[in-house]
Amino acid sequence: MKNNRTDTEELTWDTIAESFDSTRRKPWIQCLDFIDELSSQAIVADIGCGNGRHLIPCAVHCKTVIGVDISRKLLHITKQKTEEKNLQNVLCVHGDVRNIPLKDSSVDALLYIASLHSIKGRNERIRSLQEVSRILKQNGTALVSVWSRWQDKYRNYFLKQFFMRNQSMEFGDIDIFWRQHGLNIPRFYHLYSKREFLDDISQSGLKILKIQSVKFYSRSTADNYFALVKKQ
Amino acid sequence: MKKELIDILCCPTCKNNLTLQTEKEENGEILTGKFTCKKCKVSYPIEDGIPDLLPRT
Repeated sequence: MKNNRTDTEELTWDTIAESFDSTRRKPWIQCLDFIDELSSQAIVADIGCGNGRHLIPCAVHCKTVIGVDISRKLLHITKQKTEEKNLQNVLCVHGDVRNIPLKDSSVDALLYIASLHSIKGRNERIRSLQEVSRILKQNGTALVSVWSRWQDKYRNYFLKQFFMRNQSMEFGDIDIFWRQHGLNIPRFYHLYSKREFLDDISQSGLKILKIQSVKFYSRSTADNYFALVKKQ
Repeated sequence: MKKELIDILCCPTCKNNLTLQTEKEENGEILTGKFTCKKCKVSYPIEDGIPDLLPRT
């Protein structure tokens, strides 16, 4: 038996997998820039790899890529894409980003894109970042991204949440519905303030080399934070 | 799942080495089988070339 939380997350992402894949085709430039800097001999993990939109350019550039995801359906989609491109250097693994099934100091670099914010509970998110630190080789680097709490779209929701604190949830928690292709599926998110993002990374023992606030859709405030981190 | 890539995998819970049992293999790719963690006494199935290494409670 797996735990209930894992089962629920898996079901959510399996349900929206095909719809999600059809809307998440283009890799983010921040990720492509990170991948470009990696050695062609690098062994890379992409945790929360989703539909492989960053795993594939990484596999083209690097020696080996291990994609880990909670959704078996998304892994099938990723695997199929790698087979169509005849990429022989990819390993797709059904796994949990809080308990990564990779050995200590086994990867040169790591991508952790738009996935940390799907974990419920601050201690669990820090634990996942500690797992990142554990599997990275010394001086290995990772690119971690999360959604921002104060982006235009959700600012009013969080202002209201701030003044009407519900003790059963953390400030920053929100259900964001996937409403495409006739679906209406709630997904748990913990949207980050920049300060909290920096604090969580610091608590994991990883060193922050660079933090970037990015506006993809939001006009006045950042909607994503990217952190370039290193294992010391 | 390519055979040569699996050395990096470990048990999600105790992080110890896994033992592989292959049931179906094609062109160096393991399609069906299982990994076992001898310490935790847990088996993790491999189906369609994708190992299920979610932790068991």
